[in-house]
This record gives sequence, structure tokens and C-alpha cells, in this order.
Amino acid sequence: MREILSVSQLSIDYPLKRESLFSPRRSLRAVDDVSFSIVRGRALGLVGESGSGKSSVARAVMGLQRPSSGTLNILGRDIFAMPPRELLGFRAHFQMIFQDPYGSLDPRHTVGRIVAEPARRSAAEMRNEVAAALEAVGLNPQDSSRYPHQFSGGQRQRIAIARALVTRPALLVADEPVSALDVSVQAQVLNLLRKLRETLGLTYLFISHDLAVVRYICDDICVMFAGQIVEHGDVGTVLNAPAHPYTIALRDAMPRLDRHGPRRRRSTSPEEARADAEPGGCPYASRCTLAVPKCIRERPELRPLPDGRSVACHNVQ
Amino acid sequence: MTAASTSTASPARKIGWLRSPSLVAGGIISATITSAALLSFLWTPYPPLAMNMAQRFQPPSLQHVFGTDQFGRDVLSLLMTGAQSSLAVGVVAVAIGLVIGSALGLIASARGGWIDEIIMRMCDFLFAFPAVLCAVMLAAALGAGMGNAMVAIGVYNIPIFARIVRGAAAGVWVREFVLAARTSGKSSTHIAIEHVLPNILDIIVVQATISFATAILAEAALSYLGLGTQPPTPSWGRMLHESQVFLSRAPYLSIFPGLTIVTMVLGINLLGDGLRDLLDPRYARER
Repeated sequence: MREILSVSQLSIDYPLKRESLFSPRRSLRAVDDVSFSIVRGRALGLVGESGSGKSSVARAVMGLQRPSSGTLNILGRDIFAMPPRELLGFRAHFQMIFQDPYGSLDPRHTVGRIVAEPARRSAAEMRNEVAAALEAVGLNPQDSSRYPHQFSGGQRQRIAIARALVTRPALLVADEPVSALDVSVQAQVLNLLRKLRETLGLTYLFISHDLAVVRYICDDICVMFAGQIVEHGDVGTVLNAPAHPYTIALRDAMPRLDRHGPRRRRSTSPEEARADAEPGGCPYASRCTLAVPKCIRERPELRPLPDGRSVACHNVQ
Repeated sequence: MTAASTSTASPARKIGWLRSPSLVAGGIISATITSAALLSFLWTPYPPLAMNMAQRFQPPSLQHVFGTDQFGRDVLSLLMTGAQSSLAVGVVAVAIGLVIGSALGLIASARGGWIDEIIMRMCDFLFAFPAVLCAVMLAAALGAGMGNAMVAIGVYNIPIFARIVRGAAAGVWVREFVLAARTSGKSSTHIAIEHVLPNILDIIVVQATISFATAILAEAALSYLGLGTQPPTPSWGRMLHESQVFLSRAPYLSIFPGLTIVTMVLGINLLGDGLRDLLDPRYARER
């Protein structure tokens, strides 16, 4: 099975509160018709600003959020069509690293128990596996009898990574795994993630808002805006010469040393853009500097370009 | 992260409880009163129920350390024997409320939706009646007596525990380590027992100590109404109530049962505080 994860026409809606008792129940489309796949050993970066739907995709991939439509296959199995009991065991094949290493470790459990959790066996039975996982992330196996509060943020994230590795999963989903860490520690954790991918042949779905981090870790990149993929392709191709106006804006928003002075500030959030957008139009139209009347009327399809990437924009040929 | 710091971590935790002053003080107080209650099964300074009209209203002296009551009974012997029923009521009532209430609260927070609604509305229903009225209704339905008083006070404690546990658990269910447990393939039942319960245990322990104190006082109120411990079996609450009449003539008759209740409640509260700290690995390190 070369395709570890394949997502096809995935949409996720979140129900909104009724405005009044008799008004119809409305919902927010957080993810809108998203398709992508990752083959074994590759790392796909999912980028976009907050509210773009990238974390919702991660939640769906982890089976925490049932999609409203579309299919999601991990190792060729549709996790939402699986009997719940079977899914509990199947979860060993795909694991997640969370953003906040302070919130994602139970303060009442020892490190050994935390790391052993995905194996669904006791920490005592898993002693050797836990020790191996702790060593793989650069911690001391003796640390397994200590508690999370005795570790720094970077060490805690290493514990979280050890937990994700203990079942030897095929797919690792990382939701902003370094954004809660100090910059100096970020680099160590990123190096660790890169090394683990090489030595263990892992497949990554890597979610981040930081293009530099994605460039360092990933092979491919999906740029999301307002729940849709606007550009998808090889990380070098997309980031060196972005084609979609939103990707260009994202790249220009990255801090750089060789540029001075204030930059243009964007004015609309994705929520506002989504509200402004005509139902059938491009969600980015209200913010786009290149928008033409067609953008408001017609939603652009994700079309392949000759250099291998796909872009959803009427102005890109 | 060195080997040295790893090896010091666990001994520090083992001797930790000795360094918690509230745990030690609470433990000593509770143990003293409990052993006095146990001792009363075998021995009391005087037979607790033996009346001696020649020795009525004796103030505290070497013969009668806490004095004698209106029937000439030795107050210390009565207090020791009364501890049996008072402690039994406290323990049983808290146990009923804690076990059933915590389970209901945990189920409500885990399931949500209509199950949550039904459980919490049932709790509201029980809450709508004042404590004593609730106990009176139950005692009237079940009949007077110490056992029924225990059940009545215990039932009254159920919604208290259910609400506190549900509220505290709701805060834990949304924590990221619960999501991590889900992605680890743990079922909701496992998560409730392994993650949610340990993280709200401190709140449950503190509530248990408060409920224990109120249970002793509630038993006193019920006994006063004739629905709790039946005469002549002594209980702290009944002694306190019966001595009210003689407050100006023999104040020590009220003072000593009152002090005993206050000391026991204080001891249990200190014990609860100490236990809470002991249960939390974050506190265990500093101590």
C-alpha cells in the first residue's frame, strides 16, 4: 500500500447556534471539498492562517471529527466506516502530536504510562518499548517514572513524540508541533522530527502556519484558505514561485532580514472573507488584488499546471 | 535530567506525607477520635448509660473529666460511645453520596445530551428540598432510626457530589490529553476512569470532608427531631441539643460535645487538605 492517507472531497460543517428559537439551524463550512493524498515516506505540509480549516482536516484524519461528506482512507481503510471497536485498535497505525505540550500530557500520569498509552497495554508490559521510544526522542529511559511537570516544554514535546511513536505508526499527524515552543527549542524538535522520519520511514501530515518550518520538514505543501485548497504542489516549487495570490501574500508575510519598513496589512479575516464571498465565487476574491468579475461569480477549480502543482485561480494559466 | 536528579525524585515523594503538617495534624486528630470510638466498645470510664441521681450536674473534675449530665451520666463516656454513631453516620452518608453522586456526575459529563439532562434535572429535584426536610421525608417514608438517617443524609449528598463532579469533569473532558487518549484508542469509559477521575479527585476529597462535617451536624438535627439515633443510644448531636436547656446552669454540657464536633470536623478537613496535596504529583515534589 503506497498511499498511506487519501482524503477525497472532504467537507466538514460545524453547527452554529440558532439565532432565535424558530430560525433554521445554520452551520459553518470549515472544510470545503478538500482532496489530497500522501504516499509512504512523504511529508505533506498543510498551511494557512487560523480559521482556514487546516486543524479541522487534522481532527477528521484522526477520527475526532466526523466529516459531513467525503471519504478518508488510512492504509486503504475508511476509518469512519469501521466498527467503533475495530477503530480503537486501528488507531495504533496513525498517531498525533499536539500543539501544546503542557496540555497534551496528563499531569497525574507518569511519563512511562503516558508513552505506553497508545499501545493500550500497561506501562509495565510495555517497558522495553517505552524505553526504546524515549531513547529515540533523546530522553533517558529512567525518566519514565517521573511526572510531566518535572520537564521543560521541549522535553514534554519529546515525550508527546515518544507516545506517538510507541506503536510504530505509519502516519504521524502533527498539529503545529513547535509553535508553542521557544525558538531555540523549536529547532531541536524539528531536527528530531526530520531524523525520525528518515530512520523510521514515517509519513507526515504536518500542519503549520509557519512556511519556514514547512519548507524544512515537508516534501509537498497544501495551502488552504477558507476551507479550500488554493495551491498544492512540491514545497520548493510552490514556495519559491507561488502562483496563487494568497500563497504570494502568505510568503510576503514571512519576516525577512533583507527587507525594511512596514508592510501592507491585510484587512479581512477568513471568516469575513467567507461571509463576503458570493456563494458561487472564489472565497479569496474579496481580499484579492487581482480579482476580476469572474472571480465573484464562479468558483475556480483546482487545476494542474505544467510544473506539476495545482492552483485554484482564474488568473493563473 | 541527570541520573542523580532522577534517583532523588522518588524518595522525596515517599517521605513527602511526613512533611505535610495538615495531613499529620488531621491524621492525629481523626485517629484519636476514631480510636476513642473503638475503645468505647470495650471500655469507658463509667458505664455510659448508668444514671446516678446523686451525681447530677457535676462540673468537670478529676472523677468526671467532662462533668456529668442531668441524669448523672459521665459526659466523657457518653461522648466516646456517641462517637460510634456519629462517625458511622458520617462515613456511611458520605460513602453513599460520594459513590452514587460521583458516578452520576461522571456519566452526565461523559455522555452529555439527554442523559446529562435527565441526571441533572433529577439532582435539581432533590436540591429543591432543604436538607433536613429531605431527610425528614425519607425518614418518614423509611421509618425513624440511625440506619435510615444515614440513608437520608447520604441521598441528600448525592446531588451535591453529582453537580461538583459533573462541573469539574466537564473541564477535564476538553483538555488536550483527553484528545490524546482518544487518538490513542481509549474508549470513553477508560478515559473517564484513567484521566478524568484522577484529575478531579482533589475536588471530590475536599467535598467529602465538607460533607462528612455536615453529615454529623445533620444527624444531630435529625436526632433532635426524633428521626435519627433513638434514645438512649448517645450521639454527639443529640447530646448538644439536649444540653441546650441547661446552657446557663451547666454550660460544660454543651461545650464538650460542641468542641468534640468542631475538633472532628477540623481534623477531617485537615486530613482532606493533606490528602489532596498528597494525591497531586505536582505538590508531592515540593514537599
